[in-house]
Amino acid sequence: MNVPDRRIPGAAALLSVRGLRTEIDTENGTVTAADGVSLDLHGDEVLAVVGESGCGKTMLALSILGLLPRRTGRITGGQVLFRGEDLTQATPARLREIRGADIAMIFQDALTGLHPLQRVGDQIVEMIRAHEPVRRDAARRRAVDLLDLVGIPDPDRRAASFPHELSGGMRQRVMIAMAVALDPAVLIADEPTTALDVTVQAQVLETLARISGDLNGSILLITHDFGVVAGFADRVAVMYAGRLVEQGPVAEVYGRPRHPYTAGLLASMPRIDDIPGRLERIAGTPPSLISPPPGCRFAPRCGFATDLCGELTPQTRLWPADGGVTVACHHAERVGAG
Amino acid sequence: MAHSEASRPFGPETGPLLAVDGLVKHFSTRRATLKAVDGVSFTLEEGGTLGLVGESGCGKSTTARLILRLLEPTAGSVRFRGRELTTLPAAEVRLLRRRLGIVFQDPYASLNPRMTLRNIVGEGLAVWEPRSDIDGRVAGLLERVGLDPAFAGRYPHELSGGQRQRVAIARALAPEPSLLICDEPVSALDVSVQAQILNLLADLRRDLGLTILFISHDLAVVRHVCERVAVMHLGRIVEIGARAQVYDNPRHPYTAALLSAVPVPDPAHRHRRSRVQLAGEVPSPLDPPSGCTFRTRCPHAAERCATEAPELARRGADHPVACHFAADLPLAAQP
Amino acid sequence: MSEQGPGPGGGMGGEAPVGVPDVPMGGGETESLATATPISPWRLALRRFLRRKPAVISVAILGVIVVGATFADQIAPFGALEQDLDAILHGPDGTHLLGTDTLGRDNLSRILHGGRVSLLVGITVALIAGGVGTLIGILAGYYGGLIDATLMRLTDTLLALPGLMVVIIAARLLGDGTWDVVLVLSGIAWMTLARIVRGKVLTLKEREFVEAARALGVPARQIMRRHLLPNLVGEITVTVSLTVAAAILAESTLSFLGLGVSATHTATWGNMLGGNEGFVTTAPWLVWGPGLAIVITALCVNFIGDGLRDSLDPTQGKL
Repeated sequence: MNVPDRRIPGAAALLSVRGLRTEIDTENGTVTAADGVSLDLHGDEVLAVVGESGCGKTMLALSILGLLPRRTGRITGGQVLFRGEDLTQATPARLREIRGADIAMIFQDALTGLHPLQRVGDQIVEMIRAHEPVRRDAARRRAVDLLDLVGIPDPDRRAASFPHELSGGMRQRVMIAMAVALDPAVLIADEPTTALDVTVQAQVLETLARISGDLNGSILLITHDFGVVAGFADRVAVMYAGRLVEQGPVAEVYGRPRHPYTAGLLASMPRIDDIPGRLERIAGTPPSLISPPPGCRFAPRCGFATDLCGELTPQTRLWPADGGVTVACHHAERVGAG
Repeated sequence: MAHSEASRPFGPETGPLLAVDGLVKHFSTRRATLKAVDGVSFTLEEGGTLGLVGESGCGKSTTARLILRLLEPTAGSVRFRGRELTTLPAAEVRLLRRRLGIVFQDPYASLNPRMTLRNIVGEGLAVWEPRSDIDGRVAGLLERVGLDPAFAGRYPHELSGGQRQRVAIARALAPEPSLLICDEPVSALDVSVQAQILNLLADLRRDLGLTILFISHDLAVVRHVCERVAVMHLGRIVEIGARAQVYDNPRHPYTAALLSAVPVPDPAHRHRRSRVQLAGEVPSPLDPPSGCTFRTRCPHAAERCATEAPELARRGADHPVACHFAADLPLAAQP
Repeated sequence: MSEQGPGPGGGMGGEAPVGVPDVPMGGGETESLATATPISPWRLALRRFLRRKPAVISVAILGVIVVGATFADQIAPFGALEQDLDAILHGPDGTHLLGTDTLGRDNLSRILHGGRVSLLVGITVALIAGGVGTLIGILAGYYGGLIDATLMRLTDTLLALPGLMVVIIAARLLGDGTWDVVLVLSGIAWMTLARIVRGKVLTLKEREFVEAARALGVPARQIMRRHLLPNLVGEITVTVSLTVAAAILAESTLSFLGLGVSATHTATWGNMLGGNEGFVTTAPWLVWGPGLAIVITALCVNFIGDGLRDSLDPTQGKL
């Protein structure tokens, strides 16, 4: 985090999301899953988008890759710029080309990403051959190397396994192998370790970190877990009710949260490293994204809220000017001070 | 037999509220036997809080169901106020359940979607005290767990996850149990809501003098809630002790590994913490390793571990550990 | 962990917006809800049902058929057995809107009267099979053991035999009255439902809300009535409605073969078809009339069943 130009939004980003607005039709009405989301992923960094369930973080990830549910989901505004190319305007064929080769994705549930009736080695081979004109045996060798790279013991034999024969941690490693097979510039990982036990989670995160270091790739990590973010990400973007409320270097955001939601979440976590007498907590539950409250969406649950918050949506701004943190709160100064 | 419960003809006035001894549950299929719980023993004093912590498949939820006899144990003993539960006839089991409440993990699955909150919370009252003012007491219970009593006519689908979990707690409290078993009560909830529920449990414990058996995979949550902690691995307890002993001075390598794997929401920790990285995979409970079930992943495993299963040190020791080398291992204190 | 349930909030839609100040606990803190009045799951199901056009249209058509059959005495221009010897095998005309048969009986009137028997058989069979099947299915699923083993063997055996043959043999042994047919068909129909209910109970009883009820010490009978039965309504309603259609068709088949309700005294759609099969080319109205009545009724019932299946499923989120 010592590259100065990263602090200027939009400067030479690898992947840049500009004012993205995504809508999903549900039986209850239209949900605005992402509402004016802007973020930049630079080369060789891990950016975490963190938020609670239903905040729209997964839809944000799917929007980037053009993977929204076909009939019910759509992007209604903004841009997704990948190396300057607007993916929201790309043809389906072009998106298929980019997916896997330039931007790869890892899902929470490896079983949904793997074909249940095909050997895992063959799936990696097919994936490689779909994008590159290589011979089957060459692709096969690469597949085994990849399995080895992600820390699967006895990769030669494991390549012949079916997904159901592997444990959850192994399957997630296979997913990672598949995702990095074509050496993508960007890896989007949506809750990659949420379904795993804590010891296995540690192993898989370690693998992910090592591989991203080896391959000079950037990772967009989608997660609900502030602990994972702290151990893994360079920068963090906190999402609440379809909007980003705070974004900046992990140490800055954790050390001195400027948004009341970030501050509240951090204080409400029981921690392994101390025993607070009583947890701080945020009252109430997140709002409906069908008819969100006017103004700041966190205002109804916020201890800092004033009349202004219920009327005027706060602008995203740098505060303080040198911290590299952007925040969308009228009262960031008060929150950051205390 | 509520009256015998009150006069307690079977048990002493003192002694633990709950004593589990050598509890075993094997699920047999044609091909294999799953040793879900394989000799679990612990005691829980009146007013105490015990955390049962472990990874998925370690048998912690099965243990809860065995205590309530929602499942029939294969062997072992469960004593509640000195009364043996495992041999009670079915009719008496039902009477006894009044004294044991349970809150489940998934508030979406644990409330009957076709019943109003009044009927959900009032069901236990209607069974045990059909003549009492059920509406009034339901209102009181809802208020007690932080819900508007006007919710009584509502259905579960109208509530959020946190609100549903409050209802589940109110339901468990309705018959005024002395022991509350919480099976992963906050695992399905978001962080901000999780804190609300944990605080509610702390308040209830303080105000009602509840004894709590708290089952969770989340070591941070257990540390926050429980005074005593038992760590489970593949159907067995490998370490049990007071919170400070287990968290600050873990003596079983598995406990140490678990503790070091928990992500800490503090970037400064990233480089400071000593990581105990486990190699390999969690073994299948259908085919557990011989001897110590942890040895395949244990950085300290020796020959003896493969042949001889370590016993959890005999009762009396205040911090028993099931490891041959517990006394000699240099385990990092956390964090 | 794999033990983790679905994330809170389920969908993004229905979380209640809450605007409560952060008061310390102690009874003071309460939360509010999105809607002013409670919406029961049944009301939600009704709303969803009303959005399914084929099902709603089917209800309307079926309503017309049921009213026509019920009030056949008042509506039909002629009696079912009334002969017009001047108009034998007449095609549709002003007097006989759907023509007449070989005995000069009015086709339309016979369809209306015949519908009474067909619908009666269909509905009665479905209700009997519904009651018996539900009861046995719940008991077998909840208790398992002997009752379950008996049920499963019995149904396995019957499923292994050709159903039509069983019905034909049973129909021969019994008489040719309407109630004999009802008895034969009910005797077969309950088993399908019993198996469906049993299967669903097996999964329901593992659900945490049933475990919670057991943990509260709720008696078994009350668990079955309050926790299992209401959550089976979807399966039961759908199966029962489909049974109505199946029973109408089965009655028609039996009567067509001359094994069902006797054509001498009572008209049914089935025996009308059976009696007139020789006139498909010469007097097609005699076959098309009752034939269409059977097909339309069965179709409507099936559409309604599908609509109910979709709208009664409580997993289908909120409205």
